[in-house]
Amino acid sequence: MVKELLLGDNPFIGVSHLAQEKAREIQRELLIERKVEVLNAAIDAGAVGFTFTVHPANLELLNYVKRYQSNILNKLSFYILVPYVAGYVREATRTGMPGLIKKLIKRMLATSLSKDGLLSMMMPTPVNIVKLFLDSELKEYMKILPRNNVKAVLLHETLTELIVAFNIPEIVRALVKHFRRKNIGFGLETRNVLRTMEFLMENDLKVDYVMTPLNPLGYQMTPSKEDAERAIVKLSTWGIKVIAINILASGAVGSMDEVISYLKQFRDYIYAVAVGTSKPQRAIAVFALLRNLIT
Amino acid sequence: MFNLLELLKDVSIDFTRKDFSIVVIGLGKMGLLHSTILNLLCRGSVRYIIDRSKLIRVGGRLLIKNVRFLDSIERLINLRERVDAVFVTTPTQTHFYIAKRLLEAGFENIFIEKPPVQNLEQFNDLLDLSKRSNVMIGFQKRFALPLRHAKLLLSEGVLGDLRSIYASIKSGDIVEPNKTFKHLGRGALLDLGVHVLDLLCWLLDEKPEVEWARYRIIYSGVDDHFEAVLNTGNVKIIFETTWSDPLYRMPETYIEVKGSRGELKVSEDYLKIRIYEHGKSVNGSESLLYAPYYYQGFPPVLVANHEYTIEDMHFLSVIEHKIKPITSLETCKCAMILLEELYRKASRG
Repeated sequence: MVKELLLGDNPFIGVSHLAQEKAREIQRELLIERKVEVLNAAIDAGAVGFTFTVHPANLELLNYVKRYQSNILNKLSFYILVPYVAGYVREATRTGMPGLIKKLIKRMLATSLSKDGLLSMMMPTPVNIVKLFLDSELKEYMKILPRNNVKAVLLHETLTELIVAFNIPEIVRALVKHFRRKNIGFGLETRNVLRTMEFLMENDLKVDYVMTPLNPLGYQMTPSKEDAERAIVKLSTWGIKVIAINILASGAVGSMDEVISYLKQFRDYIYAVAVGTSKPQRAIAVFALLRNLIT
Repeated sequence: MFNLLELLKDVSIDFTRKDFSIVVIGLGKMGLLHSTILNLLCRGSVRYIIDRSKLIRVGGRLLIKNVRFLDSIERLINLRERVDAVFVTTPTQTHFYIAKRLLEAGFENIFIEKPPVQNLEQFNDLLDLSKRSNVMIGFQKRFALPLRHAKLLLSEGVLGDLRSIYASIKSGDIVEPNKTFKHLGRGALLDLGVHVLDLLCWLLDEKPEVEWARYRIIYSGVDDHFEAVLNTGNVKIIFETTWSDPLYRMPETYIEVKGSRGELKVSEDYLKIRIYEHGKSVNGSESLLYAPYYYQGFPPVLVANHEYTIEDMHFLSVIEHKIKPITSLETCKCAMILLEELYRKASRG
């Protein structure tokens, strides 16, 4: 049964899997006040969580919310995607990999003043460095968000796919342990869900969440729509909470009815559904319909 | 869909059952991207990674158990083990020397990220050396299905006689002072604009002539913005590229073609076509196809954008079937000649 409806942040940070041109237009018009209206509308219509990337625009939004409408923060659970990969890709273009690594080390040194950080710096294994890196990415957000409302940290798809591709279970195992110690769930975002499922099962790894596209078109579902569906069912049966994203296939699905009737087939296997929008009215309409998945 | 993929001979191969042995040289962002795709398509296919950085080699060895990390091509050559393909994903200025050494050593299948080399002279040298090898260039835009669709429509003459083209590629990668590219002597046109030069040559099946060209230096000491007017006979082409537009989160290609019977607009994300009635644009004669139309349950792996996977699948099928790659050195020569002409004719604006 679907337990949570989540508001996604793609329109807030200028991401559209339909067309970047569209995303730029939306972002130009999307002032912070409007984002807060969307948050409020989504909550009123049934959203209980917000899933977002550690993007500077989200930090700005959450700081604004804490200052002017802090009650919103108490009404939502948070699923945080780390790191903001597009930012690092751009940095790598500007400075090359060595420049990027230097910048990361500087940032991590600043974070290592915590107990965990100092331990990691004393034993700078690759796994400890990854933990330190994610902590440094999360640091500013953890200052803002009510601790108990941070449900999960999800590894951005780019890192998930890299870990799966090179079969590096040690990192996932260490991150699950690391975040569970903080009473935060740990999950993987992926657009290669079958391979991710195989990786988890072959290595006997149990993460708390897997976030992956699920839509009637099979868009971003690999290696095929049917295989991805089977992988989602299997993950759920194995006890992993599946968060369905891109349910509207980036807006390409004809109607919400089609989306709802498709998702209903998987309602026993999906823990949460996330959807992003830049319009309060749209948030009300979409979440009202998605409530059909819960009841 | 079939028409759009037919040039990619047998992309339906079940790569998961193949036993490729691939070397990736340079574990920067493109090296990581290709390695990830290759290993997801075909488990364990990336067997060797060569990187000059000791930090990357040591970190890599600690994390990745099933890959051998080497510090130079010479070590790879001395290993004398089976290598099906080598991916060159190092900084641009090193491409020529690495590719030359690989060709001299007899490697058969070499993939070089774009831009293939720094200038036409290096390109011609590689072309001479590559007679017995398959060299594929990473012009992945040619594998984006909306752009392949545009190519198909233009080849079939759907727009009638072509009249004008606007073609651009823009990103927001360099929006503050940067010294990384100054030593190359070339900037946004070489690094980014070359994609669109390749697309123009491919879409039109001929090399446009340069009428005038102009560049602006903003942050990097080299061309941060480049614009030009080109033509092929009656078709006027306005071309623009920059890596310094902060509005662009990701690099975006945009091509608008106007013909006697209609017009089309295409990017990596969509294709919009309008067919005229009696020579005029009318309402309702427009089709707009977004990426979800093109990529439904395909390709079988998704990392970054779909076109990267299709590109890598094509290269693997090139190896498997011993065919010439779509973006071979020969087919990319037009773009490199155009690049050279643009730099030669450009004045600082």
